[in-house]
Amino acid sequence: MLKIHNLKCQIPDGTEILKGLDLEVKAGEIHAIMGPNGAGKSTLSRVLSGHPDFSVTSGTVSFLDQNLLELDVSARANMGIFMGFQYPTEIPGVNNLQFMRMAVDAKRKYAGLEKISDAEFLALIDKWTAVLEMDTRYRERGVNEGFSGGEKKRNEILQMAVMQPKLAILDETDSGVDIDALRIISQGINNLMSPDKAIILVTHYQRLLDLVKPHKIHVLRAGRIVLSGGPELALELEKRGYDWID
Amino acid sequence: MALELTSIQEIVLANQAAGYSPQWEPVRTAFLSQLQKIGMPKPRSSAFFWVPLSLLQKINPKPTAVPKAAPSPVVPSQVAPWTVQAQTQNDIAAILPALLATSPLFIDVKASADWQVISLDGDSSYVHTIAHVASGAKVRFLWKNATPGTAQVFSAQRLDLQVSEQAEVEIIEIIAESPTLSAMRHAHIEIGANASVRWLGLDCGAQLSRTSVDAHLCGSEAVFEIRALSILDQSAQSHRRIQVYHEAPGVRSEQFVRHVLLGSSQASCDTLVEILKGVTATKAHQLVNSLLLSPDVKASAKPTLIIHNDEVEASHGTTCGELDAMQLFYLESRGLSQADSRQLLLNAFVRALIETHPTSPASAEVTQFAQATMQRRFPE
Amino acid sequence: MSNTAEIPNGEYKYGFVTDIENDAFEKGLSEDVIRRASAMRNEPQFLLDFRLKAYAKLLTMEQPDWAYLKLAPVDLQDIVYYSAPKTKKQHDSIEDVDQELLDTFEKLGIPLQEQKRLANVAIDAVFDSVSIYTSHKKKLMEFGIIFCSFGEAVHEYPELIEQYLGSVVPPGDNYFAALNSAVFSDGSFVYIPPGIKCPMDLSTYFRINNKESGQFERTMIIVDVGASVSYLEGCTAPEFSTNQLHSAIVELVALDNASIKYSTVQNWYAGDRKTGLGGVYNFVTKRGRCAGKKSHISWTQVETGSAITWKYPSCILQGDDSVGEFYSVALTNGHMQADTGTKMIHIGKNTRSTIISKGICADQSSNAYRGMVEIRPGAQGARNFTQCDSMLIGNNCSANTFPYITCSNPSAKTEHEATTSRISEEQLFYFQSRGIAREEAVGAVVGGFCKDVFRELPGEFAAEAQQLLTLKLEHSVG
Repeated sequence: MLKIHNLKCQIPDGTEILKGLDLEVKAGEIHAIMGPNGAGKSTLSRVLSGHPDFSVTSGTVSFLDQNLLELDVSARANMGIFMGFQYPTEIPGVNNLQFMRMAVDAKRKYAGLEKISDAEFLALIDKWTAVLEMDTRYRERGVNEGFSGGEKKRNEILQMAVMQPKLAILDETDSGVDIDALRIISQGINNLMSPDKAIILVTHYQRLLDLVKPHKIHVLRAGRIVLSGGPELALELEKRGYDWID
Repeated sequence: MALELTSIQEIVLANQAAGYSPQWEPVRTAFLSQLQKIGMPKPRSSAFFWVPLSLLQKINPKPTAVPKAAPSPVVPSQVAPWTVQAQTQNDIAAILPALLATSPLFIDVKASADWQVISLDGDSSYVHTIAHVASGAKVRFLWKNATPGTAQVFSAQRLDLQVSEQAEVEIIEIIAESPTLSAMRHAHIEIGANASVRWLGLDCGAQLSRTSVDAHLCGSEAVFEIRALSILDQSAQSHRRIQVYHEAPGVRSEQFVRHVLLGSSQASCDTLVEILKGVTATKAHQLVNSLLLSPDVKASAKPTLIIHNDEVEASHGTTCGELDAMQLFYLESRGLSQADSRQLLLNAFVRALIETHPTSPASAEVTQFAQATMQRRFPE
Repeated sequence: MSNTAEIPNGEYKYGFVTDIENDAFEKGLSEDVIRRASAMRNEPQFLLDFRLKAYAKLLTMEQPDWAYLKLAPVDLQDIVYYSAPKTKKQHDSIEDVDQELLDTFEKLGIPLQEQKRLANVAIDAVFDSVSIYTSHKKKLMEFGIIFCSFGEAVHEYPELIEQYLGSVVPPGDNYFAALNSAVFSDGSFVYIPPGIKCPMDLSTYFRINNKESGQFERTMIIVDVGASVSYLEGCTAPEFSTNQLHSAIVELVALDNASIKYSTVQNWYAGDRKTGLGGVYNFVTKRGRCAGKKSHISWTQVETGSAITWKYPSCILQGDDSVGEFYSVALTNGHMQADTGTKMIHIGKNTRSTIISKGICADQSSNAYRGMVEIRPGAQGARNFTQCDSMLIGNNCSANTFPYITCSNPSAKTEHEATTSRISEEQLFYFQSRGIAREEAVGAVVGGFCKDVFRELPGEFAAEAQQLLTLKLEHSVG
């Protein structure tokens, strides 16, 4: 589904962050990307979603056999990529539900489908706010307005549920989240997974990976993937940190 | 004819010759000598700091629309307690209407008024309205102009508003889109104990519009709130000068202004809060946010605070900039097109201001006007 | 440097007058006075021309009239424009400096004798606008750093002076700038060559002694590519019952990647606390030009004295990516009036400015912040953040903020916030209930209010500034 080859990118002041990254994710797989701070984990997810602050200097990224780097931000989302932000932005004045509905309709339009009906949309919201244990506040407020850290993360998963992406990249979904919230979020993620979808989890900690079990784990260090392995790699990293890798 | 002392004096003489409301001559004489004393605005004078003087000077003050004289002429002594002394006026916007209106209009809102709606003349060249609101009355004033044709039009209008204790007043002030209009609107407001005045203003773009407000919170626990929006395009200019004086304990004021600027438009907002000595337990908030959406626009703000007392809660803030890049990116990352994302955020910016004003049938009209203007400026 | 801990009863400790002979002209200002003074100083032609042009400009200007400052216009003819202590010409050796002058500075807490002075601060001592001694000159010269009196720089380095004089504050900029440009006497000159980080703090200490003379200093600091310096200005004056005029100009120029940190702890005589008589009129134009890319100029000031303060240290952010900062604490009490603030002018791309202003007023004083943030049309990506906070003590003072913000570039972002507060009785009571004296409590609360500014002061000055504030507020609370 996703093929990244020799990806290099830099930030506006010229510093190179990703220095030749390779990654392949197939449908039905859950990958975890771990690594020390500053390695480039968040950068990778932002580059994939098309964040304006990062410019790709070389390499290729293909998503469903299309050149992803040629598409603008909204087209990538419409094609089926979902970015779960580490620090979701607050947008007061734009109603949370109305915004999600617009996102769903934008995707449908891209696929040549009709807009979603009231009944269908509401059913979708009702189902997933129940799974994610979110109360009616989320319907009345502005996007992420006044939400706590954990609530914002759940709102991200709610959006993921409503938009049904093919590839979800979740950037530190577990940071700033307590045990109960983590359990609920993981439940949501697992429920959304299926053989035709893929998920990339960017994380520091083992505990998310106990709940959402990855097929492959990669260590990102100094802008490159330096080590890949199966799920047992996470336990190794937990015990020994990152320094032993070379 | 240009906007200068000699042309104004000519109009004064013409009015005298026409014999409009002769009983107001002493008042007009006082205003004329005050105008002669302060003169026309000089470069960077504080009342007209950001208004381009070249634009001001080109205005032709000759009245084009003269209202009929009031049906029952009002004698100055009838409204004496409420007419403002000429010698305290330092703003030509406050002086010109009193000087050049053919006859002041007097409105007496009785105590029994329960959200009576009164339309103020927003179209005549020179209008001076004196309104008295009795204790406990509830009234809504609509101050609106109709879109003029292609002729250059100048209007200077003034509202003197005396609000007695416990009364509630809502003022809806709209400048409809008018590229040939230069308009000065001035309001002098005195608010008694436990009374409130809430102002919602919308400027859709004039060649030059200037709204000045002097609000005096004279009675304890009085409240003054003003929210104003300017949605401008091309070479429209919108300037506001709002001065609020906290003169009694427990009073509260709020000023919230937003600008959405396109083309080569300019907007400025000069807000002042002065908290007098001995005024305790008082609150004042000012906020001005400007959105600059094209390279040739200019937004200025001067949120001034003068405080003579240490027991106050006063704050002011101003921000200037574009739409928030992170907010735009977030919306786009959910599949909304760039255009849709911008529209969503622009509408939210405008709506967020109107929503802080207590909802009323009149504020709904403002919402409609604002939305229509936004749609014209940012077509889908 | 100065030792504020022993001030008894909050009296102005620097109120003494030094008995020393001096050379002085009669009072009055005219083209003739300017020519004669220039001749006394043996100045090159270009400088005399500069002065005469400035004087011609002055004659066309009017004294400024700010609504919130109550002062009678200054009578320029009632001032002496040339006054120099009858001392030997400035020498590199401390032995040649008059003992009375050395004693004066020692009393002020600025020991100039080698064994007593601070090792890491170079000092230029200016007495009645004449620089009498500059320490560490030779050592600094080893780095190529020039630190000397302005008068000396005019003779030793005229090309530098000619190139930069008036390039940041043109004589026509304002009334007092024109006056100063015509009649300035002396001050400090600093030049830091490329790549050099000045190894010690540089400092000028101004002392007014002659009660009839005006003080017209001129300071210029030029920091070349990749260099940096931290400079401190201190000042005091005796207690006179008439007002004295202090009208100075400071010009800073920072080239590519250069940085200048300029700090002022000002404690001029503020006039009699009860009557408001006397005190210094402090009208200063200070401006820094961030001429180079990524240059950085930072102004930090603690203003606690002077009857009337009128100063707006400013930054012209010309070079792309340049940064300007302004941190200020202004304390007024008694009958003082302060109208101070800053101007940040954004011209280049991606420039940034930060303004943090704290005003504290007590008694019958008045304290105004006047600021201007101007984002010009070409200032792509400019950023400004301004925070002005006022603290009022008692009900007879007034705190005012007059911020002007103009933005002509859509990619710029400006943010301005202001708050007011007061020292709460509960806070003071809490301190006292823990055994802390009321004065100290006031000092602590005020210190907390000012901490964002104090932390920008170099070295030990932060502690000194804290003490100074505490002392000044002694009789204002409770």
